[in-house]
Amino acid sequence: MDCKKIQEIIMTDYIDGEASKTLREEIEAHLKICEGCRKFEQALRERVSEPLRKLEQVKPPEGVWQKIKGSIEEEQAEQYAPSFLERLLDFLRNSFPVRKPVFAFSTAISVILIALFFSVGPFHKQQLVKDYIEEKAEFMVSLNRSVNGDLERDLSFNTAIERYLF
Amino acid sequence: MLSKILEEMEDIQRETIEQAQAGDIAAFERIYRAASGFVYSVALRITNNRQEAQEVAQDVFLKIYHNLKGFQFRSSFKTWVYRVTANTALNAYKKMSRDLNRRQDFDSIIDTQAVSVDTKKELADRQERDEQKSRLESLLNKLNPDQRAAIVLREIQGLSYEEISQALSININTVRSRLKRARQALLAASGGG
Repeated sequence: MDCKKIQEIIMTDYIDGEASKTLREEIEAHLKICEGCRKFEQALRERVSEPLRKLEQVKPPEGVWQKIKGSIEEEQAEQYAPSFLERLLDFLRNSFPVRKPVFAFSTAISVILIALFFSVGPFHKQQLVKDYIEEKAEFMVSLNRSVNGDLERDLSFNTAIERYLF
Repeated sequence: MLSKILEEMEDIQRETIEQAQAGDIAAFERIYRAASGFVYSVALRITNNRQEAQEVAQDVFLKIYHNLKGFQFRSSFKTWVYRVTANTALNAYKKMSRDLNRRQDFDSIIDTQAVSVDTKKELADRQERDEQKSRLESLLNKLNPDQRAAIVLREIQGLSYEEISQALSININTVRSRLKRARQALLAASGGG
């Protein structure tokens, strides 16, 4: 390998410890015999790599975490805040109390049972009696009307005095 | 040998990650304490601006928090943190550079029109601030963003080529080539090579 190729490898795999054992040994052998490449390698380490590696590692100020935490908490609060629809439903529920489904179901069953009870139970018979009485009463009234009508017809002689009196 | 900051990242237990995935904010804070040194250092060296680095760190941890539930341990957690950090810091740096260029264009228009006493003073202050900057930080400014990210991850954070390739989503030969160009530029800027 010529010096140009050697210096390219020095600038990358060699200085970064990524070169294979064979390649590293080859470069080291060249550095022993080539002063130009040796100076190049030394300059690269002293003026570029070492000063950069010495730059301090810094932690962010505490305020950064406080801002992150604040943003997360704000998002969580928004996530769990009730929507307009939920708030409207709550308002309606409070204004017009509605039983929960389990109570609504039991209420509906109760209403059906009561209706059945009144339609097929003892009260149903009372209704039949009531209907029967009403029916008979209407019959009596109609009978009375017809009897009176017939009497009127039977007893009328269609005389002048009847017409005058009645 | 791993740096102290990378050792702290290595210490993040799977159990802690799972607790944080379940919404445990105390577990997420433990992750933050272990990884924030790496995230902030990389952000600071790439952007070279403390305020910007703090915003990058905040952004990185919120991204991690939001995507933590989808993390399925197929890759290592630290590799994922490397990638999110490098991408976020690079994007911030590129945006900052664009904004700075626009501002410099505006400044140059102002300079050509009239150089007031105040502007001269500002220029002197800026020169003074520039002189106060460390030599290496100034050298890093000479690199393009991609070279800068590669050299920061390798020289300052001590990541391997494999880890850098995963963090920057590039192949190992590209890692090698970016490091080579970055070192050539740094060597030339530092007075030789």
